[in-house]
Amino acid sequence: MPPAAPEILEETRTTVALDVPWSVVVHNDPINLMSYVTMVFQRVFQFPREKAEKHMREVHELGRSTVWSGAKEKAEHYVQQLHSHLLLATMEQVE
Amino acid sequence: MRMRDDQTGSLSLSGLPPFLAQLLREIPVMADPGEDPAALERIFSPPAMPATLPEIAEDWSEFVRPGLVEWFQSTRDIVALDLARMKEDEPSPELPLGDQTEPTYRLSIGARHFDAWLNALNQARLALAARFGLTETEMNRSPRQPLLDERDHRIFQVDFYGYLQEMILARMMGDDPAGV
Repeated sequence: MPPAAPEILEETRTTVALDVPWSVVVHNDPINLMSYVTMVFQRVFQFPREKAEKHMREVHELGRSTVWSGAKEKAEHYVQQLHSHLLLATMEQVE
Repeated sequence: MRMRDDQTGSLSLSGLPPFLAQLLREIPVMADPGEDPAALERIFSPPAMPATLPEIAEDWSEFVRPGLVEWFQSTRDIVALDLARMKEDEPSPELPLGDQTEPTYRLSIGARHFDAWLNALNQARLALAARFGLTETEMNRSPRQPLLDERDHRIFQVDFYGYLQEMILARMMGDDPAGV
């Protein structure tokens, strides 16, 4: 006699959705001093001075610079930090 | 105006003419956006571009903005306390009494207050520029002397606060302060 087919009591399906990363973007502002913006990047992101200056120049010359990408909560934290230093910063979902 | 570091790391300003002393006293007032829509919009800029703003804005207004309001106020309070200690300079013994017609002032900014000063000066510069609609072209041109109208006065004020920011930053970053 063939073995009885197992009875399916419940079928479950698991899907894994990766969080879409977010970017932290700093926008140009003619009032903020370049040296001040550099200092803020060093302080908030612990960038070495050269990297902080590179992003500062990008903001100044191109109008914006993406300074960080990653999880939404951390992006919010960084934008909050940048706003506390009065930089024009936004978070954007990476396309 | 003279600037020097003292042994405690403080930044000392002396020989401040009444005009510059008055601009310093105005920092906490100018930094406060009050009800001015343009100043409020700049000091509390949106945390996201319009497309993603709705899903962030609510939490931001409820949880983040009150903290920013409190932090900005605390920096203005620290600056106001330092400014309340601004004193008249002693008359210079090198000048004959008759030549000392105008009082000058001195002010010391402790190293522990540098962050608060940087922030309050930045608030004041941003709020002034927003309130008076100062343009990038105006900000980049050489200051007019004499200052002919209120607009010239405000541009000079933003420049002066920027100069002070540079001096404080140079000390914080251990740079050679230029022009001191």
